[in-house]
Amino acid sequence: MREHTERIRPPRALWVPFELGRPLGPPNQPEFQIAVLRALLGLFAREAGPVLEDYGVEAPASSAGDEPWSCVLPLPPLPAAASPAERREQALQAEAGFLAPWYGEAVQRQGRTAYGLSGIEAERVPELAAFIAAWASGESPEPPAGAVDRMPAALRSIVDDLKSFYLEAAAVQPGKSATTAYEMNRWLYHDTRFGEALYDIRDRFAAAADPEVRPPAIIQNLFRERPQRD
Amino acid sequence: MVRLADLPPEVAAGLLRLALPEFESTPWAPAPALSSARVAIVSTAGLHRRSDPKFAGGAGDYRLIPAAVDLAEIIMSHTSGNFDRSGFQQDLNVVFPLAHLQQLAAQGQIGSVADWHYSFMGATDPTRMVETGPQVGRLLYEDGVTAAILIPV
Repeated sequence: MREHTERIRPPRALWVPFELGRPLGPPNQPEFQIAVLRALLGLFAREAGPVLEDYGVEAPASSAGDEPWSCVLPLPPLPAAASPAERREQALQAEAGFLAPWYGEAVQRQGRTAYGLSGIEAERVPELAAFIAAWASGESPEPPAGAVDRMPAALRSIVDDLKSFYLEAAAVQPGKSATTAYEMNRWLYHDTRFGEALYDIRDRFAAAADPEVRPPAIIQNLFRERPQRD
Repeated sequence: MVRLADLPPEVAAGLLRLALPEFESTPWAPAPALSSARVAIVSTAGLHRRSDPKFAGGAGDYRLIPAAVDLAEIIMSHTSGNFDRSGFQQDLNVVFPLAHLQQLAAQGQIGSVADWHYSFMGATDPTRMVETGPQVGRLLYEDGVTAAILIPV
């Protein structure tokens, strides 16, 4: 925040107008990022400070235009399972199954993945989907075998890994245009059954109203309002 | 980064209410010309190698990131959920431009890239870093670093 920098007064600071989480600008735009980096390094030439300079170039506009960003193909519809809990589990596993080949493609193309916080390999994402579905349905299972954390930390690390899985898979689909951080996360939270489950889990912890139990930070502040769904 | 005006009002208001440290003065040091500067990155994005322990909430410790690291080994265990990760997921340079620094060094635009870089976890009370901050400062000095860039997230 520029307002914070004004008060802290570091020796040299470059304020940039980009979305939170993207200090060097949008991904996969090296020329743009290097220009930002050069502007930052250029502050070392200043002979007196503190210096607070504004980077005056906005991130390139999303090529998605005004259309909400979404997966190329629609996610699987809700299955006709016997119970709401079963339907939720099947829906989450169907989403994960749909995205799995795209996630594999993303890892191969990028040469890396942000997945890896839970200790559970990505091939076992269906187990993670079942775990999240259970918590969203009011159950309280222990994390799958191999989880490096215990509850409640395991819930957070599993959610983070699934977010990486979903977003990396979605970003690599053919014909998808580069878009903003907001649009990608809007799709995750508002359009997926996984996002719906996150709201259910958040609300479950909030309803418990135990001051000793802090709700897990699994929903970004920007999306704290639960959307209306069909 | 980001304009408060671009955020929902309640989110912006919460950020403005954050307690900030008070400093009596701003330290200042002249910097060498970039063409001879040895540059290091200090991140507060909660980055580390897969084999490293994850950051805990409110942690004031840091992780080492060697310049020769396999970039595929870098993951992020920052405890705040209130910033986008999709940029980092697609491109490490969005938060940790080590490859860009190495390119600038190869082009002679900076002197060299430090052998070691560091990441703290943001969203931490600064008083928890009164020992670890100077530790990293000492490590940077011993690495011959003459210009350190702090990249928040």
